[in-house]
Amino acid sequence: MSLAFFWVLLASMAIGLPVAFAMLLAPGISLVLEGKEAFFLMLTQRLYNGIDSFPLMAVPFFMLAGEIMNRSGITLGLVNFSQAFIGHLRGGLAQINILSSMLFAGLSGSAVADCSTLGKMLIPAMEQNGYSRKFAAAVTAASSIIGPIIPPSGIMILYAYVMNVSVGGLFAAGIVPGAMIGGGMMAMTWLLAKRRNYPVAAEKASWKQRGKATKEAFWPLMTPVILLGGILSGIFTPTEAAAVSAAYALVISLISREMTWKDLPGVLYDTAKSSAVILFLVGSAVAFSSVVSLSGTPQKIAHLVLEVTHNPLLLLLIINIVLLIVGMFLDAGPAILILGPILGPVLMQNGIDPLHFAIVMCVNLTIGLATPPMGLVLFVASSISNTRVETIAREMLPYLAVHIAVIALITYIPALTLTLPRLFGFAG
Amino acid sequence: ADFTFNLVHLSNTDDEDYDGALVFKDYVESHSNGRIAVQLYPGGQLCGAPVECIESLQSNLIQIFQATTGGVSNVFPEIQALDVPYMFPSDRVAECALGGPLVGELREEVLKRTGSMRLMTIGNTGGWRNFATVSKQIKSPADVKGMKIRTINSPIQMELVKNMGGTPTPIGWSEVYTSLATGVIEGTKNGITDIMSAKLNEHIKYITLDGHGYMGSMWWMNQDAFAELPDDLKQVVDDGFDALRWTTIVMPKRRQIEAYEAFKKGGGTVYTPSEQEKAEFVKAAEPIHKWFSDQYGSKWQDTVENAVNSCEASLKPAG
Amino acid sequence: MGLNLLRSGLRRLNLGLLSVAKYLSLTLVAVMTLVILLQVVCRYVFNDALAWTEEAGRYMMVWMTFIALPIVCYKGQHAALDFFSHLLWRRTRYLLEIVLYTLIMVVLFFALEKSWLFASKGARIFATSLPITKYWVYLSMPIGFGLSMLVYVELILDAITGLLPERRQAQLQAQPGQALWKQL
Ligand code: NA
Ligand code: NA
Repeated sequence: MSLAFFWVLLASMAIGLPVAFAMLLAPGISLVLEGKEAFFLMLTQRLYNGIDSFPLMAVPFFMLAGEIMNRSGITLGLVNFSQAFIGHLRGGLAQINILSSMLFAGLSGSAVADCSTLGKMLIPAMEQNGYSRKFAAAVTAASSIIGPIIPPSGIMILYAYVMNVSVGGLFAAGIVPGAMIGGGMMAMTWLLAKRRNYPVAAEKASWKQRGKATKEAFWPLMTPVILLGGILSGIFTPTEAAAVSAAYALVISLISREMTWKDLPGVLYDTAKSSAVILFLVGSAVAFSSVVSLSGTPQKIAHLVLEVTHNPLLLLLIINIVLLIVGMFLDAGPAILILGPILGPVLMQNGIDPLHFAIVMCVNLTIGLATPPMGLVLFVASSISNTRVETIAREMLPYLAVHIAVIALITYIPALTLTLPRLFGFAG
Repeated sequence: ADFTFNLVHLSNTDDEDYDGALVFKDYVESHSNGRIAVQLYPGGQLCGAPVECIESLQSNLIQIFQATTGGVSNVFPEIQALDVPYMFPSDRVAECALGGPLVGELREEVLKRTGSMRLMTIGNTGGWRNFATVSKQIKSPADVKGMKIRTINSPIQMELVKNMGGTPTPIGWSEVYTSLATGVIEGTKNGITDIMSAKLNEHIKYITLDGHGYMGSMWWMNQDAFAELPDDLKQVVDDGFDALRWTTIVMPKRRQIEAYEAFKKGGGTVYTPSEQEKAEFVKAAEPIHKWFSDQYGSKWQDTVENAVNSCEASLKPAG
Repeated sequence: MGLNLLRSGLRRLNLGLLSVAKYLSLTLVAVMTLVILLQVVCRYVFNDALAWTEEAGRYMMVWMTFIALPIVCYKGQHAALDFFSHLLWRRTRYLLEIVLYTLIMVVLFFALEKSWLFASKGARIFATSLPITKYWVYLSMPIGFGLSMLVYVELILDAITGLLPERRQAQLQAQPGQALWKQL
C-alpha cells in the first residue's frame, strides 16, 4: 500500500508548510505517484463540499458572537463574575475554562466550534490574569473536545446513522465519559495549579461584591439560558442558535453602549478572517481524507488489526491505539464513515455491546482531534492564540494523560457508558 | 481487470442500495470473467452529497452512482414529474412504469442535456414516502393543516405540504432527529427504513400510509465509461443492472416487515387511510399538476402519466 | 532595483484588491447572519418556512471563506508548525520561506486550474432553491486561489529582497491616520 501521502504530509508540515496546504499537497503528490492525476479534480471538489455545510455555519456565527463579546467587554464582565466566586482559588480561571467547555458542550456539537469560541474569549482573559498564553491555549484545546462527547453531538448523530444504533442511547451514553473528562481535567488543573503556583486571580470577594458582579454580568449570563431554552422549545435548531447568540451578543452590547455601530465592521472583518482559516482547514481535511479513503489504507489497517487477535480485551486495546492515531489525521466524521462499518461488526461478534463500542470509538476519535503531534482542534487553538502548535502540544501533555486514563476506564468498564442508557430504556 | 468501476451510493451498508450494488458487483465481475472490477463506496467516502456525486460522475471520477429525484433535479428539474404526489397508485404499477419505455426516454433526454450521464435502470430505495408525525395522527389532508412538516429542500415536496395547509420546513437530514425532539418540526415525510435507520422512531409515533411518493432509485453510469466497453461487456453491465434493479425492488418489500414490526413494538401506530380518505389526499394534491406544468412545462408530467396509464391498463386482471 | 519596483507595484495592486475582498467578506458575514435569523423568524413567528435561506447562507459562507483566504495568506494567519524558522540562520530562513511559498504556489496553481474546471462544469448544475447555477458559487474558488497566488508572488519577492515575515507584518500594521481601505 502506498503511504506516500503520509510521509509527504509529515515532512511538509515539519518544515513549516501551513497545515491546510500540506493537506492538499500530500494527497496531490501521492495521486501523481499513482498516476491518478484525474483525481485532482476530486480534491477541489471535496475541498468545496467540506466547506459547503449547514452545521458548519455554527463556526462563523459562534466566532462572531465571541468577537462581539470581546470587543464590548462582555467577556470581561463574565470573567469578573466568575472571579468573584472562584477567583480566590488557585488556577480558578483555568477551571472556569473547563467548566465553560462542559456547559458549552450542551449547545454545540463540534469541538472546532467550541475551541474557537471559548478560546477567543478566555485565552486573552487568562493572559491578562497572568497565565502563560501557551497554557491558556492548551487548556482550551484539551477541554474543547468535551463538546462532541456530552450531548448534543454531531458525530454521534452520524455514527448512529452509519452504524444503526440509537441516537438517544448514544447521547445518554456520552454523558458519563464527558463528565469524567471534564472532572479529570479539573482535578489535573488543581494539581498543576498547586505545583506550578498558578495565579490566584483575586482576594476572596465579599457577597456584596459578588452580587454586584452578578448584576453586571446578568444579561451575558443569560446567553446559555436563551440558547438552550430556544433549542429545547423548538424555536431554533442548534446551528441557528449560533446565529441567535451572535445577534443576542450584539443587542446587549449596543444597549449597554459598550459597543457602537462603528465597531461593527471591524468585528465582522475579524470574524471573516478567523472563520476563513478554520473553514479552509476543514475543507482541506475533507479533501485529504477522501484520498486516504480511496487508497484503502484504513481498511487495510483495520484488517491487519483483526488478524492479530480475537481476544476482545486485547482487540479493544489495539483498536484504541489505532483510533487515536487515525483521529490525529482524519476528522472524526470521515473516520467514522470509513472505520465504523469495518470495525463495528467484528467487535460485536466478539461480544462487545454496540453502544459501548460506539462511545469508545467516538471518544477516541474526538480526543485524537486534540492529540499531539496533530489534530484539527490543535491547529484551531494555535491560530486563535497565535501560539506554535508544538508549544501548545507540550503544554497539553498532563491533560493528554487524563484523556488516556478516561479512554482506558471506559474501554474496560462498560458500565460507565451503559448504565445511563439502560436507565433511560435504551437497551443495548 | 481491464475496466474498473467505482460505484457510489450514499446510504449505509444496511440499505437495499448496498444489496443491489453487491449483486451487481458479483454478477458483472463473474460474468465478465474478471475483465471488469467493481469497487463499492457506500456512505459518502468519495463524495458527500447527491449533487457532488453527480459532478464526480460527470467527470468520470466515479463511474456508477445511485440517486433519487432529489439529486437529479439539479441537472434535470423535470425529473420531479416522478415525485408528483400520488403519481403511482401501487408497487406493481410503479415497477411496470419505471421498467418500461419511460427509462429509455429519460436516458435519451438526460444524455442530451449532460452528455455524460447515462441512466441504467430505475429500482427502488426504501419503498414509499409517507407522512410520519410525532404527536398528532394524520388521517386525512385536513389533519396536516397548521403542522410543521419537514421536507427535503425540493419545491414539489414543499408544495404538497403547502397545499394541505401545513408549513413545509426544509431541514437538512443531519438536523432532523434533534428538530423532531425539540419540536422545530412536528413531522416528516420519509420511508419506513429511513425512519428506523436514523432512529427517528424515538420521536415519531404515527405513520400514515398515504403513499404520496414512490421512491424510485435511479442508477447512473458515466457515458464514456459505458461507451468504451466492448459490446459483449456492455451486455453484461446492462444485465447486471437489471439484477440490481430486481434486488432493490424486492428487498424493501421483505425488509419493511421487520421495520414496521419494530416501529409498532416501540409504541408506534401505523394508519392506512380508507378509500375515501385516500381520495381526499389525492384531491388535495391535485393543484400540484398545474403548478408543475407552470414550472417545468407539461411534457414530462404527461410522459410519466401516460406510462402509468398504459401500465394500469395492461395490469388489469384478465376477465 | 527593477525587482524592488516590481515588488512595490505588486504591493499596491494587492492592497487594492484585498481591500475590496475585505469589504466583501465582512458584508457576507453580516448578511449570512441576517439570512439565518430571517429563517428562524419566518418559520417560528410567521409559520412560513423559507426554502432559500439555508442554501443562500451556505453559499455566502463559501464566498466569505475563499474571498478572505488571500487576506489570511497575506497576513500569514494559517496554522502551521514553525519550529524550524526559529532554529535557522537568517540567510537559510529566506531560503526556507522561498521554498515554502513555492510549494504553496504549486498547490494554488493546481487548485486554481481544477477549481476553474469545476466551476465551468457547475454551469450545468442548478442550485436547489435559488435561481442560479452552481457556477456562481464555485467561482469563488478560482477567484480566491488566483488572488492568493498574487499574494504569494509578492511574498516571494519580499523574501528574495530580504524582507522577513516579522518586518513585513510590522509594515502592514495600520498607521495612525491611514485611510480605512488601506488597512488590512
Ligand atoms: Na455537544
Ligand atoms: Na475550554
